[in-house]
Amino acid sequence: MQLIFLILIFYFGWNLTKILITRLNIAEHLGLSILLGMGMYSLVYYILVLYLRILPLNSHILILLTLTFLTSTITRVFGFTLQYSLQSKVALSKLEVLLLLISILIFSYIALQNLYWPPYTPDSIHLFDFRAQRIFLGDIEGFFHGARYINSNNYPPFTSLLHYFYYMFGYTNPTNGYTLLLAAFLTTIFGYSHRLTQSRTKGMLIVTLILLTPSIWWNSILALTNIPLMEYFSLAILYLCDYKNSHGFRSTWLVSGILLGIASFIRQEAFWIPIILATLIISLKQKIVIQCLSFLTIFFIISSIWPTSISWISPIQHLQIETRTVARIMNDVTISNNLSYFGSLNTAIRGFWKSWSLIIIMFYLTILAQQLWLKKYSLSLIQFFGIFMSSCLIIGSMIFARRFSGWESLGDAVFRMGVIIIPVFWVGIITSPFWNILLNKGKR
Amino acid sequence: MVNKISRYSHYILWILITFLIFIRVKSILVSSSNFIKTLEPIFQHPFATTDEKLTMKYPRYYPLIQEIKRLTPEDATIYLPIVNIEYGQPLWALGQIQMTQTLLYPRTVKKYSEELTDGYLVFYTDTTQGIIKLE
Repeated sequence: MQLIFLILIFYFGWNLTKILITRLNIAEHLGLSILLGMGMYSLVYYILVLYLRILPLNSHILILLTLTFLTSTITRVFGFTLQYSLQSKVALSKLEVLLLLISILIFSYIALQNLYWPPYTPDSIHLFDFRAQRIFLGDIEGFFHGARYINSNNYPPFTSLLHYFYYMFGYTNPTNGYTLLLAAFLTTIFGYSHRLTQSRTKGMLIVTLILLTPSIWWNSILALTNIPLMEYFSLAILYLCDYKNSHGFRSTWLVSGILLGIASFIRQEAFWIPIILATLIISLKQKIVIQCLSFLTIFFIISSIWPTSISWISPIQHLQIETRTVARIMNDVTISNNLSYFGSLNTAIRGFWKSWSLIIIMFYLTILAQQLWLKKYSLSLIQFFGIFMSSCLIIGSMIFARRFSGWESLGDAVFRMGVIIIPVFWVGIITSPFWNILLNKGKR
Repeated sequence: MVNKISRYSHYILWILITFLIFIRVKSILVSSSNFIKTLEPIFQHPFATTDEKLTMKYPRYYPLIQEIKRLTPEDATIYLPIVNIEYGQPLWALGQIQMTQTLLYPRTVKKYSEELTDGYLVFYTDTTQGIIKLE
């Protein structure tokens, strides 16, 4: 039964990816099948069973079979196929073997920890696993109202549903789901980097560096939302950067819109605002209005499901509330004296250092070196997003540190979330043309 | 000047990068000691149940939760003491009211206050912990 569930999720995701996009690396297709399959199935299950309550709780196979049938019919009827980018068939080099061994070692450690420990951190128990256990026991009311969350809006149900699917299909430990998502994410990012750089070694290097980042591997074993959010959010940014890979309505921006939407089904904090702004600017500059509209439409539909379902407000009202909140905070900040600007900047940088550590220095150094050498003063879109998102997170944290007294003492819980853009930093570092120059002993 | 910097900057950058990798490896080695320590319980108790694993994580707190569940009806009100126990100490999680609330669900969990009505009061000392029925 467990195997059937996973195969159906995979097959649904496999067909869905074929519908959305035209050109991928096979590794990306494999990884996206799990990420999109699990994400979209969670959404559909939530809407039909928990929100509208038109199907009973144990409708998993029915829903999955229907989704698989629908996507495979659409694929066949419209003749959607995927063109795979060329694969290098050369045997692994010594460096690649080393990278593979390091990655396998760290990934095995994460998988072992997730295989053994149940959700044990206070937040994973009371925010996420509790809801999974309520629906597992058939208590939908308990799922929504069983515990009084301080800000229940901020805790959408994706990871709770992930736990529940695992309980439902006979696993006693739902944290294995995080291992599956991480494996899918690493496979996707390997395929993406391989396709982008035309270098298998660089793809493997990026995967190894992501896994070697301490804040990523220790977050991976906590059964919290940070790592799933990182997986969906960073891939949403990376696929936005690959905007030239499109054919009609089928484009990476459609995939990006879905991934960003699912990210908002994991956490509701408005990380998406800077992405939307950047997207609008890029689409105007590159004149890709249709892609932009499809991205925005799919994102807003998916991201409205959770707030609409728990507070029964329309997406428009939700947007108005969010805008008013941001405006109020901005107004308060100008008159607040909780911390000086320097103090709040210090708080933000010290906090994110725990997540980003030296990666942020390496990222900016690479960009600096690239500017010095190439003298073109141009950034790749991935690097632009790395700079833009890190600046937004630091400026946003400064604003909140000034707005709320004692906010700086929140510390770890807030800054742990900084991991969400680490993969973007690593891809930005490794894909820099600066390395080619350096490896050629400085010859230009 | 710019040309001079440009001519020698790849040496400077190689040195900087080597330095960064050195620090990175150092931080990874420091993390590795935790790495190995966290594997110990897995190899020592490979077949532990979920309750046993949570007891390993919360040595005095989790058995107390199980005891409260065993001794109290589902509609009981449980009063938690206001605790100030350092993080990592065996009973530190007693201060995590929301986690306690969800572990004891559907019981109602409240923080200790002067106005106690019917229910159960959780107490703890340095060596022991338990509940008292309020009447």
